[in-house]
Amino acid sequence: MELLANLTHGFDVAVTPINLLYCLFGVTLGTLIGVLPGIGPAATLAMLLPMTFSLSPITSLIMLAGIYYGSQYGGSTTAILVNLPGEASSAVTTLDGYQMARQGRAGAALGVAAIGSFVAGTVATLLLAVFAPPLSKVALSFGSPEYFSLMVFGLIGAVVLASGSLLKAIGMVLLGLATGLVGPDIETGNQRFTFGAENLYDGINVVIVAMGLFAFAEIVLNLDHTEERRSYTKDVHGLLPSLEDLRRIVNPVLRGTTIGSFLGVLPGGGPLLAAFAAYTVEKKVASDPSRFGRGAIEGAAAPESANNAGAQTSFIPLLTLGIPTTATMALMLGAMTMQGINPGPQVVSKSPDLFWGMIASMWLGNAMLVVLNLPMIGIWVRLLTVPYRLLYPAILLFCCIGLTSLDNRAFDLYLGAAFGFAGYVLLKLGCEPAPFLLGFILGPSMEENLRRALVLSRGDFAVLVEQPISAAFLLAAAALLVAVIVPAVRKRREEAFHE
Amino acid sequence: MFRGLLKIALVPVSLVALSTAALAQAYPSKPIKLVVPFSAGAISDGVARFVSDRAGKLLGTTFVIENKAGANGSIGAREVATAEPDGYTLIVSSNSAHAANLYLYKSLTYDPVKDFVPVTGLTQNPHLVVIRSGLPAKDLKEFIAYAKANDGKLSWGTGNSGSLANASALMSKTGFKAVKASYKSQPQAVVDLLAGRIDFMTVDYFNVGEHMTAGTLKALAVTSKNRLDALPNIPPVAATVPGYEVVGWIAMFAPAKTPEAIVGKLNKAFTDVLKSKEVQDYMQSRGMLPFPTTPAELGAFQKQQITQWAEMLELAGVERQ
Repeated sequence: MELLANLTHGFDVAVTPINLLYCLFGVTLGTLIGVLPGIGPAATLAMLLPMTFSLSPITSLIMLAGIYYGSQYGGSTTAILVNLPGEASSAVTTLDGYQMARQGRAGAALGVAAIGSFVAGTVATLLLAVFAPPLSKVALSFGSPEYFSLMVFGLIGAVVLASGSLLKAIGMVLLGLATGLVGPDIETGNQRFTFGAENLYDGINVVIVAMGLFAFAEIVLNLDHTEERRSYTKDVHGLLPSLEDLRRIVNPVLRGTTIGSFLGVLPGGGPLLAAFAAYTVEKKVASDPSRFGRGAIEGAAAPESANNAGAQTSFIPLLTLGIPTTATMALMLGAMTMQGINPGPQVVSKSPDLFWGMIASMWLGNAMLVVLNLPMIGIWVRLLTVPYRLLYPAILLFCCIGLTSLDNRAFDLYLGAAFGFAGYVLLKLGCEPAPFLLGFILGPSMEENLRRALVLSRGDFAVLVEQPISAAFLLAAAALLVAVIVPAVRKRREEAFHE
Repeated sequence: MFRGLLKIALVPVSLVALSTAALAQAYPSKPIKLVVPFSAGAISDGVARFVSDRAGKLLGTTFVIENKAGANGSIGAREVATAEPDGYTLIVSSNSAHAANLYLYKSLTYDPVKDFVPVTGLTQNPHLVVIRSGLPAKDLKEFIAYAKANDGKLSWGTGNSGSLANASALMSKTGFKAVKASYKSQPQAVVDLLAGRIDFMTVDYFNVGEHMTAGTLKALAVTSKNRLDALPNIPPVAATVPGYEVVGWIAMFAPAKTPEAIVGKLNKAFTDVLKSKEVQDYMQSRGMLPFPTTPAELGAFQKQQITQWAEMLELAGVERQ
């Protein structure tokens, strides 16, 4: 009953004209960048962070969250029609979605993707509403040792679950850690890695890193691909799936939702891994696995449900523990901090307007997205025909405006360009920027908490294992490490990503 | 021939003299850029926006705030130090950029005294000495006695250089030691104080007001010379430790050589605003004290503060960068 009262309160906050407007703006923008390949939610959030200064905290978070889950809807459109993932998390949808389009069933594929996403969004939002508050009460008993161990667990999780080479993921986390340490030492105030450059004395702003690694690097990388693709943008009709289709997707959507909700909570998980896992599971449980890759409707429904569920539940660790599980969540953390909200256990109790308002807005946003993505699909499809030579310079310009508005420093532009170049080189070498960003964000606070834990325990390392919560996290981290080192598990992990 | 050259050389000088006089007369004839060397949303940023909005109306112009954060305010301060001294570029600075940084950084790229002329003080921001609710002390005197009896066993938290200097000064003046835990920001330290993981700290009223009302921590004393109007029941530290006064402050400066007439006009407008009821209420609700001064008073205050902050930071064991 208390939940109902809280949700009602949340809807009161979410349906004010300004919040509805920004929710609509967020999900529309999210769909837009979802449809456009090459520019993802992390880059968009990075671009819009400076703009949120002039909004109230709740309004800006509603908008930013809308961009995130909105992009999960939009990503499928491009995947199905052009065989290009609009979002990384829609990559797996190309396998069967594009095949469906080739068989003239583009409409049905788009339809099940949107319906699956909506069901998943609704369920995951409810999970967030039910589980986040009790979790945040537990989180109040988190001191420095607990936070340190939790972050160790989070970083190891990010490495283990990251796609691609394990060694490269570890390297990227370490590089991120080192970059995060630029600036004053928390205990003594000594400058580290600043090389006498005054502009680095306060450390590097996360927006600059994200803009460089995600927006700049990805745009340059996209210019590498110039090959033509056969797209089915003219063949969209019959968006409502048949009864037979609906019957077929009920279980895949539910399974995808479950998998996505669970993986979204894990550090490093998020929508990308959720989509892959859901697809793999569908293929395993199917009576005829050979249909997959040839236009199986389950292959479009399950991953699209899973990535949206994962996008919503990844807010749970952020809002209850202040731990970002993905690059995009790391930027949400940045946005909250800039608004004077310390993400963590006190958010639910201290800012109920914010917490419940955001949850209510997520459900409203999902409903808006169904409308945006089904009846209005034609607009998005037309967008896919805008030439990149117009689109990319415009995006770059907005990024630069965003960078200069941080502290009015030209230096930040140069730094952004440097991260863009580094990001491009790293992507070329097959290194993911996401573990870098997680290391960059979690590293400094991991150090801060470890040193504080040791100061308060008068230098006794035992404090890390004496506290039950802290010990549990360290144990879980060790188990994860072992799991990766054991060859059998490693092989299966690689198989999963190959599919 | 030399005489001719001299004549030519003198012309621009007299032109400059003439134009500054005319400039002061017409001042302000366009919007004034107000550099805040801290991020949007910082306390000094809030004060600058609130006060300049009202002063702008008195002067018949608008102030354009430009946040130029970095290196504890040094980056914004340097920009104003080298700006045209025509009264159209000013800075709303603080005890860090215009006092403590002289001690904190070995090579400061501006001189907080010689590169500026003081305009007026804006606010003083005292700290509260707060302890966790479980600690057996009702007032500052009892707390000091308890801390001395448990020398080195208590721990304290700090999330910025102001609270670091303040608590260090308090400990050295009263003669006890405790373990220092450093935080990225003050609110994080307050959370640990509430959970009883640290024992005491000094902090702005703004950060702990609600916890004081809820009784989840105890405020013992305020670090300003006198009691705050908003907190009539909290005595100053000076009542127990005679002469104790450590406050943060926010003040306005202009580039050196800014004409005196312009500084005078600005001073009049801002001190008038600071005396208004609206501004007094704004500051009281945030635990700040309005701090209107003459330019000369601010200059003297700044010199005294430079010495005091250097002493306190040295006591706190902060190394110069």
